[in-house]
Amino acid sequence: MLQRFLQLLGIHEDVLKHLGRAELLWQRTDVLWIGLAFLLPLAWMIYRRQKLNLHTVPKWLLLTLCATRLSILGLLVVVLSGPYLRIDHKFERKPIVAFVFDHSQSMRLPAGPFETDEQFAEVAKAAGYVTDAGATSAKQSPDTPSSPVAIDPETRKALNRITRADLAQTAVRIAAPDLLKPLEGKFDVRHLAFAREPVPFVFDATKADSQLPDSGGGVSTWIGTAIQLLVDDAAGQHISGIVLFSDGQNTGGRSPGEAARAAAQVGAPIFTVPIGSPKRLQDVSIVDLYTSGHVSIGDTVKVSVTLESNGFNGRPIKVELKDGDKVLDTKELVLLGTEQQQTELTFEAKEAGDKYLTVNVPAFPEEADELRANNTDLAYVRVSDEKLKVLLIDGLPRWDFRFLKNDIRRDNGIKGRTGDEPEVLAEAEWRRMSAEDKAAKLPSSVKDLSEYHTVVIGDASPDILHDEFRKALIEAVREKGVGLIVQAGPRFMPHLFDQEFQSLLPVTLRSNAQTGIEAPAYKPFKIEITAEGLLHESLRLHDDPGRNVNVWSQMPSYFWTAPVERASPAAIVLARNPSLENRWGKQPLIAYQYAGKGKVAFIGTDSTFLWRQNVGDRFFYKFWGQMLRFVGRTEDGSTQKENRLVIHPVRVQPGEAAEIELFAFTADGTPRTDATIKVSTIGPTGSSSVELLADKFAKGRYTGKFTPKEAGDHRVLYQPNDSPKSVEGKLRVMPSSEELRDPNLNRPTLEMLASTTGGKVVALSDLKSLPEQFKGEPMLVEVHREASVWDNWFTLVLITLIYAVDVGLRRLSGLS
Amino acid sequence: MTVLRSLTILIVLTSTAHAQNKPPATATTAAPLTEIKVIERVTSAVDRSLEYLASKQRPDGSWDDCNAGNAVTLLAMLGRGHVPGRGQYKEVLQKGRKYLLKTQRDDGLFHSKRQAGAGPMYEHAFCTLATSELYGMDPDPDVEEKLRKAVKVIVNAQSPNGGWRYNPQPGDHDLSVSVMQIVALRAANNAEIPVPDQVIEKAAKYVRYCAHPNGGYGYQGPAQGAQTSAAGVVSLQLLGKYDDPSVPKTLDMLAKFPVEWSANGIQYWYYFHYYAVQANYQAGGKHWNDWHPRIRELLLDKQNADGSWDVPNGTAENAGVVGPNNIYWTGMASLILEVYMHFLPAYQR
Repeated sequence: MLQRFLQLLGIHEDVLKHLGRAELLWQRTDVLWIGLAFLLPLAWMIYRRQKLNLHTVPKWLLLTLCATRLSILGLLVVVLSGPYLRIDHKFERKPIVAFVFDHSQSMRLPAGPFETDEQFAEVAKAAGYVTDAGATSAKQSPDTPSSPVAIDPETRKALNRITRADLAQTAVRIAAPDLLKPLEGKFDVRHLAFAREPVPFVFDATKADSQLPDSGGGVSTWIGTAIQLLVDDAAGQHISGIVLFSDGQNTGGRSPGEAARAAAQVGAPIFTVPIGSPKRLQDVSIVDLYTSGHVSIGDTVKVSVTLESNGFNGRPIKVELKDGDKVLDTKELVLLGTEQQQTELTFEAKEAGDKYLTVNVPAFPEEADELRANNTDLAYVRVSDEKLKVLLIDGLPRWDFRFLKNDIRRDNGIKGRTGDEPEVLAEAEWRRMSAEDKAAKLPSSVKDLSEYHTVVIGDASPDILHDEFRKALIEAVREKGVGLIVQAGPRFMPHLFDQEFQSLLPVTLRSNAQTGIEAPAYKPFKIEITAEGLLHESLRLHDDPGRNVNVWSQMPSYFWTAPVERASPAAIVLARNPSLENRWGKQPLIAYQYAGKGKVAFIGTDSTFLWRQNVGDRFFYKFWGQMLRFVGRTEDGSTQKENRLVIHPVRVQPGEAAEIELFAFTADGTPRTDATIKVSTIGPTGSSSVELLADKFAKGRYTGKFTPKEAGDHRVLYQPNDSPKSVEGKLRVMPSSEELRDPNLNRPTLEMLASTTGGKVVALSDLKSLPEQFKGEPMLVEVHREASVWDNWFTLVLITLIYAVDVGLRRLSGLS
Repeated sequence: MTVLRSLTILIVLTSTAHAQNKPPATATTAAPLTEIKVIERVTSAVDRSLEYLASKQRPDGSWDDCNAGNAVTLLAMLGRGHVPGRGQYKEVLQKGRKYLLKTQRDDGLFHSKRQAGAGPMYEHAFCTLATSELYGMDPDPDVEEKLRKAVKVIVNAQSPNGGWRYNPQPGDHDLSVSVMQIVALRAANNAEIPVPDQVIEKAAKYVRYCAHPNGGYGYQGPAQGAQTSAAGVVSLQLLGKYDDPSVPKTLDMLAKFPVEWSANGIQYWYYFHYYAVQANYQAGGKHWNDWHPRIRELLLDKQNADGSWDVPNGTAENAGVVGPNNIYWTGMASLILEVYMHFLPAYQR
């Protein structure tokens, strides 16, 4: 009650938290004492004076009027004395030591198979089957004193069967007297379990049962997210160590590398404890599946499958490609136990629509049941009957241009304005043409440019991108909805172009920045995908979000970026350069925005060819093919404005968000102006609604996020209130098989986490060595707070009230 | 003669794949993917090799008096994704490029101080290929001008039946020199430098003329030499002639050659393996699956501690022919391993 009252008076929260320790003090005690000393004779004087002047009034009224005047004087003395509350509180803040247990699906696999005596001895020791003093269920080898402890067959069997998660807990329990006990009192010890986000739990070292809570999302492992959230949650509290028990398999969330760098920045070392056998499990697994994603009717679609096997060397296997129950293609392979193998399955795309293809290899009887899920994988293909008209212009034939022109020429879903091949123009050749040929090769009217769906402009000069061309292009983008991709370059783009052209771009350049080939003299940087980018269809290199994160985090370093200062207000930033940061945040590297009716994407580096590393065209052109289609003009140029609903990506995992984009018009074709619009979502077991917010920069455009929880096909429906015609989009929700794609111990990831943060990889049998690794002492934190108790609304109300009573009583009694 | 053949081999080695201007009837092809841990070993080996090569650069920017070694080294650096003006080898590439361009005569021919063969066309094609790959990534306008002149030399030197020989005059021809010119022309064409279609078609016709009915290609007519067979199949693949009947037969024939560190049956070891790995990569599927682990592991195993490679005893590619300091062998080994990296536009499948 008192707390609430003081809160209403505006007393500081820290003071209220420690109210029991608060002292009431006075700023001017002399004023208080002098005031109090004068108050008594003043009271007598007031009484005497009232009695003389008001001798006809009843005694209670006389006394009350004296009391009000005296109260006002008393309050005045209090206010002048400056009363305040003071807290002087000291407490100890201990550094954090977090024991983080991976509790994903792969951690429920057996920890074995262990093979060598040394491996068995180490795990047996960690799991308490043997002690430092000697064997309990095992016998010391008599050969030499240093030879490993001999483990009996039954114990070996048990050790091979124990799950990875149980082994980790058991090891901590066994090591508790030397591991947890020394930490007591000195550290803030936390226990967390994670699959996606970490969940805290109480670990009781006296209990042998599994204590890991259900952390949800078990089909994923988000190591990076778990570390990042742990660091964020510390909120400045020193972290002396994060002990991570994991098999090192990461399938999504924040990149482990980025999270490790964030942990290193706050001085939090990660000690990784690899759980699982270094021996690969007997397994056949589809480790990679690739299609180009977008194909056209009539294409022979190639589905590239990469298999990895262990323990089945020389065995034949049949790889099947299916669309539902229909087998589209099969290939036979003889398995190689030491090398990944690729094969290509094909089918002819005959009708437009979305296809979810299944690739399957039959399981061998020797494969563990838990691992059979990785014998099947899914690929998404969108078959389109549309042909995108594309114009590509660059200055010199830089490598990005060469790879891209070949890829778009091979893409049967892309053509030119006048022929079956997209129009490709290198300024180096164009400038050698006659004036007539130059004009013929370069479309420069709004009409011609509006025929394209997408125009790609590289590092071309203002000679080829002359005033007339730019004026027409700007109009084609703004008024006709033509998509534009601008890829920066050190020679011209975009720093040599005028403000009108630059205003199309989703970024703003730094003024007076070094712009030429020397501009890249930054330190090498890695691309960082934003949360929006990870969801965005153009940056989706793998259908599986976890794999997508991993692929982007492993891209090579770049050496050049355009001198971008910040994103434009209406821009969506998909990727950033984390090495350059200013008051607007990290430097945008890939971004897009609506410019009038058209979408404009900006790519701030000229080295997307680096995405070819080790994989050739697959990621390079997947990005470009998707981006060309994403920004591509969607209207047919007529004045008809129809509602349109787009969902991207078209496939997500349960719990993963998809973006809904709605273009809404009234019956007469005017863009809607409502602040929000509701759309219905219909899933396998029910329906709900999602509120979409208006895009203040693009009239009639509404966006929102939809996060389906259940697997299956979902529909998103918009029913306008002034038209019977609804529009809808489709979304396939399916869990990922990523978790079991590679079920073996991933030691390099664990080594990377440890080395990046200054931690180390610790053997399961060596947990006792950890306490001496944790550096940091408890910190004495002092809280000093002072809060005035008079300078508030309550004092004012009290004085006013007393004065009102005084005046009111006098008026009611007919006194002057 | 050994010197001539070795030079021929060197030049042919430089030939690389060309992107096709005509789109195939299929959607985008997926490139082979290999395990990350394997890739890491390959990357580390190539990085060490480039460090070695950089350390051997002479003050004038060259590595050897013969331009074949200089061009191979530049290509090896580009093939790892190092481009002019950027990164670790910025200065090395700059100096190497300057030296190479300086060796071009006014008539467009790249001219070495020391020739490794009977004429300059091998080295010229090698230099043209390297210049094609530099063009576009280097803002120096000299690169473009010199590349155009170099291409003109090749076009003018084509013999009436489509082949090329050691000297820059139309007349005689052999497959080894011809494949090198084909590759250089295709690389230039990929960089938008115009090359007449009839020149390319005549060249393809010449390669077919050298095809043996049972698979394989010969030096100056139908035969089954190991080196010329590997080079011949790559040249047809790069010209987009995947369906040529001689291609699958030759690939089957090549699969029978041993992948080992000896000159057993393969006189020009690096020459053969450079083309063989390209041929199998372009073919993909079973051919690639069977071939690449063997050559990769062999090269990784044979790399010297300083990052360089030697050559198996008994092969014709000795230091007297290819130049000093293991430059050629190291550059070639790097180019073989860089087939995994997919950076050079000329390698695009």
